[in-house]
Amino acid sequence: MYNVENLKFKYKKTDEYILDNVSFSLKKDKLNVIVGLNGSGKTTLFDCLTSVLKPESGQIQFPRYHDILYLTQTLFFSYELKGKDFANFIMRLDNKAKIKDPSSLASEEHPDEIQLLSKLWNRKIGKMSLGERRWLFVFFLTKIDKPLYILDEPTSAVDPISRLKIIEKMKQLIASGKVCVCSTHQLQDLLFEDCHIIFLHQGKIKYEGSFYDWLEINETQNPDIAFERMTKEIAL
Amino acid sequence: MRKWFAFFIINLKMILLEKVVYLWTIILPVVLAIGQSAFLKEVEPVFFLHWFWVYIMISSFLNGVGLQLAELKEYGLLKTFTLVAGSKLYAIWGLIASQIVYSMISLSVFNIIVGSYYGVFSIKMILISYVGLLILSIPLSFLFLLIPLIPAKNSSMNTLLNLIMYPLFVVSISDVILKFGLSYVQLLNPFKLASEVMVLISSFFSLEIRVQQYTLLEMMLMVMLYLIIGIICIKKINLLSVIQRQ
Repeated sequence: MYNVENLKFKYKKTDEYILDNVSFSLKKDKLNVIVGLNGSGKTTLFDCLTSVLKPESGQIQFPRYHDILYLTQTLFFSYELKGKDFANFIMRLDNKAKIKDPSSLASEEHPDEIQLLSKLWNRKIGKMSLGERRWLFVFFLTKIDKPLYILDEPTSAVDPISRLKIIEKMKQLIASGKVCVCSTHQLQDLLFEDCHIIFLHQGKIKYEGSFYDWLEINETQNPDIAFERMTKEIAL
Repeated sequence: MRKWFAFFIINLKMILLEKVVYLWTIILPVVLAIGQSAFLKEVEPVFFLHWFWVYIMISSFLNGVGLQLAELKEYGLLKTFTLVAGSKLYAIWGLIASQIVYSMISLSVFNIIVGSYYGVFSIKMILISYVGLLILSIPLSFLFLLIPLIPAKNSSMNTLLNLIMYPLFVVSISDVILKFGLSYVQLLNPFKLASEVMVLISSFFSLEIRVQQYTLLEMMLMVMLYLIIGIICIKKINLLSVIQRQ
């Protein structure tokens, strides 16, 4: 499976390592989740994994960058475009035929998703909620067939219903044999999911393993408290 | 081919839907050209109009290629789309192609309105502006690929570069720099180079015969310089924003 060993990275003109001997493995049958404080190096890690940044040293046994779907945090797009414009843009990028009607996807997608897609199809991106917009982007970008999907905070600033839909989309990817890794601050969302947690703090991996073991180690059922305890413990 | 076409279609749609773009590339040149009717009595119609064709082209490629690419980079989309498409070149060529089509639309509307207003409209006039556009589109686009490399916020660059455009446009017409014997400095001004190329094309189509200020070789060397700048920039443009985290 995909793994990283002793990855080191620092930006030019700085002495401090953003990633300092980072090692971890991704699990194929679980949702891999990178957690950590803001500024802990999550996005830098993703940029290194996708060859956007060149690490100073270390081994990255990952697919080549064009075999990775990397969904970045910020999804700016012209608000004047409609859902169908974005959908067909992605279809063309992936050398697939143009979609004329969302109902044509009924055989491969869940009825709830087709219903939401039909609602957003002719709606301008500027008229969609942030959650709808993000779900639409995740929905179409994850239709691109890749062995590995990296999603940087896909549920950030998104309402609970859209968050559930985005998580469901990631679970579908895993069920279809793909490897999926995301970062998030919404730890409560992970309570009912089968997750492999990679805890990144100050550029180092402080925990890697099952989500429930992580809660147990921190003697709580509340992931936010576990997170707080772990960061405090490290600081001490 | 399909990936390049994806960027072309989405960019063209974005340009045509953003109504504020029409203000800079169509409405402003039309208003300026109609407002300068006294000037038309002193020069041939095509010579008068070519300055505005150049303005339309430079405004389109500055905003639609240079600044748009800088914006895609700033918001992290260049990173996502390059990884999806497999190369940043698809995004760059898609942007350039969409701006060529949009400039053709702008030039057509401008020529029809202003040409009809002054009673000088002809199909030949439109064709000359198209030939000029096709020749200048790649060098101008390549020059503006410098913009995504500038370590500044896109909104600041947008305001600043669009403000600088007007004095450069005026200087290229007034030839004030030539009075100081700095003719090669003047040729560095993209408005001047584009203007000289347009005059050369107009002369070729026998619409007018005017004395060129620069030789064909000098113009070709400057075009080569723009192309070299562009090629270096394409290699240098990385996918990360220089001013914000993504």
